This record gives sequence, structure tokens and C-alpha cells, in this order.
Amino acid sequence: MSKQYKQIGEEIWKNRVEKINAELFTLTYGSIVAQLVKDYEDYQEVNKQLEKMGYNMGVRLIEDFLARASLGRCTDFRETAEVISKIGFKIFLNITPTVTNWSSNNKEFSLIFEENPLAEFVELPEDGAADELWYSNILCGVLRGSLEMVQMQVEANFISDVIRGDDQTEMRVKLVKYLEEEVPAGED
Amino acid sequence: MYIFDRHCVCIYYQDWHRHRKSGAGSGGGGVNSAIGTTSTTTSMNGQIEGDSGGSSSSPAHSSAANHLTSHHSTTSQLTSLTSIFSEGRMINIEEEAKLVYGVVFSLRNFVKKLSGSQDGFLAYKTSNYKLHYYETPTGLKFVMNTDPGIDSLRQILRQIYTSFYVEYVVKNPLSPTEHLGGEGVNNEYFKAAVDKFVKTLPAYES
Repeated sequence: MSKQYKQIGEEIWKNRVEKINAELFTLTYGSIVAQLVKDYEDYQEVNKQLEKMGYNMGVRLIEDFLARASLGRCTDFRETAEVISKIGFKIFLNITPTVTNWSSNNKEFSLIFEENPLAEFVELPEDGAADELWYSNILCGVLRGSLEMVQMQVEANFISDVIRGDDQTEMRVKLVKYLEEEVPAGED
Repeated sequence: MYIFDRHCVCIYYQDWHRHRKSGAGSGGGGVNSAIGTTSTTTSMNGQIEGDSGGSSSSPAHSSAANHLTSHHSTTSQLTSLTSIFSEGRMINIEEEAKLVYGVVFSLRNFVKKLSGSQDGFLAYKTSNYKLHYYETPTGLKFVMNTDPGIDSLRQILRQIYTSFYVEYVVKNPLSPTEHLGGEGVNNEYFKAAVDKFVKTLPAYES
């Protein structure tokens, strides 16, 4: 099953995606974060803003993803995780994070990023950023936004980040609940 | 064609009124098949006649109003169809959209309970029209009414979604993501592109 996803992801990346310069992307993201840090001067606030930006992006990104990938609904959360890592990230960032650390109730998993295109060439400043700022927090927001549009409420946050000096970049994704569809207001 | 978003609001409506020859020998299966909202013609008629008479039942969406008036010229030719439905039935566009949504929603739940698998509800056909339905996992619903003779338009609806909706609406940073207050999709490129696309379909006949 997962091999199939991998193939789908690669095929879409090869054929149906417009590619841009990776360095341009990295530098643009870097300048966004730098500007946010300068404006807010509070790293927690910057984290929140990044997550919010990611959320808005995710809400639209999911439509683009569905249009390209033409997949039906995922049957369970495990499948969702596979699809996200092998197709979603592949299409948009050309990386495939590994899915690990499933919790016992299959409602949580970790994504381990071997390479993070957002954080190439990045060094965090000395003034306490290394303890507070999650540089790639926008990805958490993107996941939250896009999964919310397909009726899954999740929480995503980073646990470790290479640019902070940890061993690996790891994001924890937790399924809170499945959302119910909206019913139109009755007019009886 | 209608587009409903996941909050059960009709965000887009466009119709391509076709002039139906009365009692036309529509032999040759589908020669005269044209895309038109036949079941909704009276309401459209009523609406447009109301508009031209100055007593407009206010449509909920400004985009809908634009479409109504732009197709005004073709509707004056529709005579045969008004006799089919009772004359006094003037439902405005908002009511009509709600009715369509209600039908579609109930049918979808019904089919889902019966078959359980994904995307059971594809289309339904009556003697007057055929309704094609496509839904995305995000809850966006595309509905198109056509002549009964046409084959499944699901792929077409899907194509409208991927090539036009995603391109022009989703990727437009200025278009709202949540449509409050019946604002709808008010996007020139989208309208024009969909219009052009539909007119080139083999099922469309001018």
C-alpha cells in the first residue's frame, strides 16, 4: 500500500508540478521568519503567527492537493499519515518524512524530517531563540488547516529541530477528533 | 450548475439556458441534447420576468443576478416549457439552491447508508432532467442539471473542480475561504473559463 503511495507521489511530482528554485524558496521563508521576529520580538508570538499563517495556507492547499492527487477519502488515520508523508510532502516540498512512533491507540504519530528545505543555511541567533522559536512551525499550521478541511481535527507541533541543535527534526501529530459534517438548518 | 461549499451554502450558480424546440423529435438519441436547467426553467423564467417587470425577487447572490440578466435574451424564446409547470411558482434563487442542496444532501446520506462505500451518489435521472453530482473530500459539492439523454458528467465536474476552481478560486489570495452572508464566488476568470469550457463540451449544442 505504501509503495503505491510512494509511486503516486513521485509520478505527480515528476509530471504535474511546476517547480521553482529551492534556494529562492528557502531564502523567502527565511526572510519571512526574520521579519516576524523583528516585528513581534517575542518568540512564542512568532510561533503562533507562523502556525496561523500555515493554517490559512493549509485550508487552500488541501484543495490543490486533492485536485492533483485525485484520491478518495482515507479509511483510517494511519492511511492519512502515509498519504501526507508520501504524497503531500512530496508534491509540495519534494521530501518524504518518515512516519514513526505510532501511539498505542493509533491516534498520534511522528514525522521525522531528514532534510528540511525551509531550514537550509539557517542558523538561529544566540539570544534565546534556540529555546523558544520553532523555525518550521508553518508546517504544523499547514497540516492542521488541511486536515481540518477533511473533517479531522489534529494538533501538530515540533518536538525537536536540527537547527536548535537536536539530533533530528521531529513533528508530532495528534488526532483530536473527527469532525461532523454540517447539516443545513432545518426550516420546519 | 451549482457549487455548494462545506457549510451548505450555495457559493456559485450559473446556467446555460437552451432553447428547446417544443415537442422536438429528439431522435438520434441526444442530438438535441443540450445542457440546460430544465427543471428550474420556470423558476428562472419567473425570476427573469419578475426582473424585467421591475418587481424582482431579490436573489441572494449578486453573482447569480449577473448570470440571470446575462442570459435574459435566451429565455424570451422559452415558451413551451412554461406550460409544463404551474405558472405561479416563482421561487427565487436562494430557495432554489436550498431545495437542490436538500435533495442532494438527503440522497447522499441515503446512498451512503445503503452502500457504505465512498461516493455512492453519482447522478439521478427523471423524465425531464438528469442531475450530475460530484463531491470533494473537503465537502465542496458540484451539481449540474442537464438533459436526460446525457452520459455521466462526473468527470467534467471533476475537471471543472481541478482545472478551474482550484486554479482561479483557491489560488486567488483575495477570494474568501469562508463564504459568509452568501457572498459566493465572484471571480471573473472563473466564470469566463467555466463558461468557455462548458460551451465546448460535446453535450452542449448551440
